[in-house]
This record gives sequence, C-alpha cells and structure tokens, in this order.
Amino acid sequence: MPSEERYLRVGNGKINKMAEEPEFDAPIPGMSLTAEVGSRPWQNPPKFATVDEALNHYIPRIGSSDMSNEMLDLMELGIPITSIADTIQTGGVMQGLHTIDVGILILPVLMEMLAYIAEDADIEYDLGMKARIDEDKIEDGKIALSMRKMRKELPKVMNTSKETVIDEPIEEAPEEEAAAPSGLMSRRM
Amino acid sequence: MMTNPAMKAYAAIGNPENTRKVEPVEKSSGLLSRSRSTTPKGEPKEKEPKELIEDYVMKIRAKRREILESRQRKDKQNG
Repeated sequence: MPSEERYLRVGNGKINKMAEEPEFDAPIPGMSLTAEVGSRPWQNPPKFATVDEALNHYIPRIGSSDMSNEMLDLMELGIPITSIADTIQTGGVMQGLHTIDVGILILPVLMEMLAYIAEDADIEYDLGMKARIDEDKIEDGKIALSMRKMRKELPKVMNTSKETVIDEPIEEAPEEEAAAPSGLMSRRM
Repeated sequence: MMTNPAMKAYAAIGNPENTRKVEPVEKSSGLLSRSRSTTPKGEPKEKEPKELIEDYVMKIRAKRREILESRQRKDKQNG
C-alpha cells in the first residue's frame, strides 16, 4: 500500500487508516531463520519461470471437470473470485511452482477463467471488485472530523456553561498534618 | 480500500481493448514501394508480460461475451 494511501489527511495532521486493524498473524521477527536456507520450495528456483509456462499449468487444470466443479461450488457459496484466484496463486508460490511476481501477473487471467467457467455453467458469481462497506464500522476520518467539530464547539459551550454557574467559594481541603517521624535514625525537626 | 492483490491486478488490466494502441499502417504511394509495416524487421519482438496477460484476458472475455450473447439469443427465441 502506498504511504499516501495509508494515511488520511485531516486538517494539518494525518491519521493512519490501518491503525484500527493490528495484525497479529504476521510472522515473528527471525521466523525465516528457523529453517535452513533453501529447504522451503519458494526458496528454490521456480518450476515455471514465465507467465506462459505458469498459465499452461493452470488453465488446463481449472478447465478440468474435477477442479471446475470445486470452483463452481465455491462460487455458488458466494466466495468472491478475487479470493479464489489469490488462493490458487498463493498455493502455487508455496509449492514452488512460480514466483510471487508471476503469480500476481497471472491473477487477471485466473479470474477471467473462473468467471468464464461460472458463466458457462450459468452460475451467479461475485467477482469481488466492489469494496464492501461495513455500516457498523465508523471510519477514522469521520471520527476525526467530528472530534474537530467538537473542539471548535467546545469553547462556546464552556463559555455558556460558565455564565450559568454560580460562583461559590470553594472550601479548601484541610491539610493533613504530617506524621512525625518515629524511627531511631529519623532527624528531629 | 483494495487489500486483495487480485483486485489490484484486475483493476490494473482494465479494458485492454480500449487501451491498446493500434499502429497506423502507412500507405505506400509508389507502385513498387513496400509499406513499412510489411517489411521484415528482423526477429519479432517478444511480448511484455503485461501484453501477454492482456491478450489472454481479451481472448477469454471474447469467449465470455459469446456465451452471454448465445444465451440472450436463446432467451429471445423462447420468449
């Protein structure tokens, strides 16, 4: 995510949009060093180095009856195509089939392929391109704006409330007498 | 907010049919002159990965359109 997109400008300041969503499932520092280098599939040269090779692997598989039936079931359940395609390519990276770069490049083709299968089977699907808006969640920006308005309104409210308050002498709290030191080594006052 | 990389990748492709630049074919004026587009320019250039993806996407979209159109035709015939 670009740095500008990550922050929301409010007045002179910025608010981190991601501040509300701490990620606890992130890898811990040094986690990559717990296994020998090259022991993981993604640390070795990929099986398919180019986009063409990777697509020649995926397209027949997605088109096969076994996999297409599974995909159709997922799409019927309402899982967006973006999520399915991302899962497929992430799996390929983990198996060492291709690099992340190739995986990201082939994503639109995988999505189109899945949409094609769904249309061929006459199934309603969600492409997943519409950003979902959670109505219960209040955006940081809105909170910041309302806080700003409150800050502007607050002095006015405070002034009006001061006028209505009757000046009453405030009783001072009696000072507590300090207990005299009773220890052997204590100084005499 | 787009967090899924698939959303970003798909949005980045857009409509390649509209964005693709079509090279204008220069018309030759002489009887024996060859147009530049027909003259061989050595080895054909390898396509960039993005162009490859756009080609694939355009082909699959064309197939999808065919399916939709055939379905609409059937619906019209059935009334």
